[in-house]
Amino acid sequence: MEEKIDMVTLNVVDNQLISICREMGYVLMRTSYSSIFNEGLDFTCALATPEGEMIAVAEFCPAQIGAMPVTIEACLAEIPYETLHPGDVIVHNDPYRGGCHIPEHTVLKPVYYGDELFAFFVIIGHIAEVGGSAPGAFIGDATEIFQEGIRIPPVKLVSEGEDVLDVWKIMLANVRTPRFNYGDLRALVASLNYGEKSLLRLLGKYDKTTIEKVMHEILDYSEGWMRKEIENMPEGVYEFTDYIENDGVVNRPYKLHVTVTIEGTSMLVDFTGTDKQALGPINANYAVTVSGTYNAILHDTDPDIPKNSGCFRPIKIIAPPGTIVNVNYPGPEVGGNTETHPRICAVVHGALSQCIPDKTPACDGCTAINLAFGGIHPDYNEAFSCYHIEGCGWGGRPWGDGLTMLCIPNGNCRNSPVEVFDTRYPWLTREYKLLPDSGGPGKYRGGLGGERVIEATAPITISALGSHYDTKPWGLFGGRGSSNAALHIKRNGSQEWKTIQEEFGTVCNGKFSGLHVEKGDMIRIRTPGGGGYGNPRERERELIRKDLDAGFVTEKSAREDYGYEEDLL
Amino acid sequence: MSNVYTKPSDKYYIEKYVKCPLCGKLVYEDTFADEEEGNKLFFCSEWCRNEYWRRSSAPRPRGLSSGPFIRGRS
Repeated sequence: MEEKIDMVTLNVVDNQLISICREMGYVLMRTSYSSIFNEGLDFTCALATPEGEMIAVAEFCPAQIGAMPVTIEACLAEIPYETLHPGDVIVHNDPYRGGCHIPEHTVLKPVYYGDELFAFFVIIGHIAEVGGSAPGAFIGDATEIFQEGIRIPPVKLVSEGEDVLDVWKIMLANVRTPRFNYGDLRALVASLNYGEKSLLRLLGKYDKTTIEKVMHEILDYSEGWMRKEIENMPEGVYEFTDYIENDGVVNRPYKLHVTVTIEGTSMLVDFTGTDKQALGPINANYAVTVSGTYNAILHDTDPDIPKNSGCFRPIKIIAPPGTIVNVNYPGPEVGGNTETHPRICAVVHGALSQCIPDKTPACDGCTAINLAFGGIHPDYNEAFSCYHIEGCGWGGRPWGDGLTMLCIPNGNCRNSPVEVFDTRYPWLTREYKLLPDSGGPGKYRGGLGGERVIEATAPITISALGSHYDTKPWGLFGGRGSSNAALHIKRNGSQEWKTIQEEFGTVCNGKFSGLHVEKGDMIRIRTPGGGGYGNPRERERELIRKDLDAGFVTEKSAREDYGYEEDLL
Repeated sequence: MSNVYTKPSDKYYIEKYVKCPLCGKLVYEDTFADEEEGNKLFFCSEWCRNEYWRRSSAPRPRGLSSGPFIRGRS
């Protein structure tokens, strides 16, 4: 029997591999051009075995972690091993071939040790501008994938160290901001090169056999740990249902249903019973649904489990084709990765809350609002295109309040500082604040949502794809729902705030595309809070007092929701 | 080899994206194939094949065993 590697070496080398992936992320942050990269950090870097199993990953954007193995498999199915060479880089963004949604570009580089294929470095990164019918990719009322942008099947972007110029030309000819896209793609390639150099350096420090053993044993180690976690959950069948309020094309709710079965050391997550795919772009694909499910389970289990393909082995997911969790070609699906992903997480949390109530949170705001915009910047006389995300409140947890104004759990992205936002784009931020009473009341209060008011300083084309405008994120175990999202416009010279639906006649308030705002128009974005956890009447009085002092809850809410009868003065 | 499942390395385009009829994963090989009412079904794994027929009211093809609860990668 082959000798196993000792636990210390296993963890030391594994952490070095993870560090390489994190450093790749810092390369991206410092060299990319778009604010969604260098401010939002909407990317994930990983290392995979030659067979495509993810071994190490940097935890930048969780939406991409669970999807990574699916995407790698699709790339390797299309690019035969025998055609790969040192110095190659594959690019891919096709949601119908394992990608998450069109903006998420996967780049993959084989790393050779001598003549032998040793590993792959993989990055999924969000490129803000991908062509399509409006700037910024989030076509909130798309009815086909073609409106959402250009699809790139797995092809070589770099071949044996040389740019494949034809591919670069096709990609950059189909977007509004070729200089920015060029910079972001170049940053992705540079980051892969950094990873390759670092791994080869590590191979000089440890022998090849040791690192190979680590790469394979860490998968088994993670699998074993996840199996132990599942084994500790009470066996049973747990169901949960939630509704997405509309799809941007038809104003009717869509059902998202999950059945989670715990048996022994395995878990089956079955989305049978979910509604058929939508006409509009809320559809998720298989990779997104898998990733959303893993995301929830990773939140509800030991955070120290190494994140790799091994910890996903005990979990089987059923995402019936032709439903909103597995869209069939050529349905639109850009919102699946941002809006439906957190809802998938939420329903899995909801089901697991019946089984492990001490580990699962209430519903978070479940929307990034996803404001995409573009135009010509008057200061620079250059096209701009931006994908802007807002934070929301997260759900109350069994041990504490929900987090406040944080990007949805699938994003984990940073917000853009006001100074950067106003410098890079022709907006002037007028207000940016937390919203009192936006967190769902509970023994553990939901996190707060926020409000941003921005004024256009030039004509801008805007699109949006958000949710929870008409429904509220739910609470758990007596905790209550939170506030809604809202999007309003005030035209230059007017004193009246109107909803987008009122001003433009859109199907709904949160999903639309290609609307024009003029200089002096103002947009007001309100993001939802998170649902509360537990009966608000059981909240510690001291915590209510602190919330009052901080302005997180009003006196009215303190009295009516929490039963706070003490002197409020 | 069948040309209907998602195996595009030797093609200019994909005519049809074939998914496992149970779990919805893209299918690249025809290792686990059955027929139902004249239609070819391509499963991603033996487990999905078994589970599909367990849930179906259609007659179960011969030679199928009921496998373990979950096996292999999802």
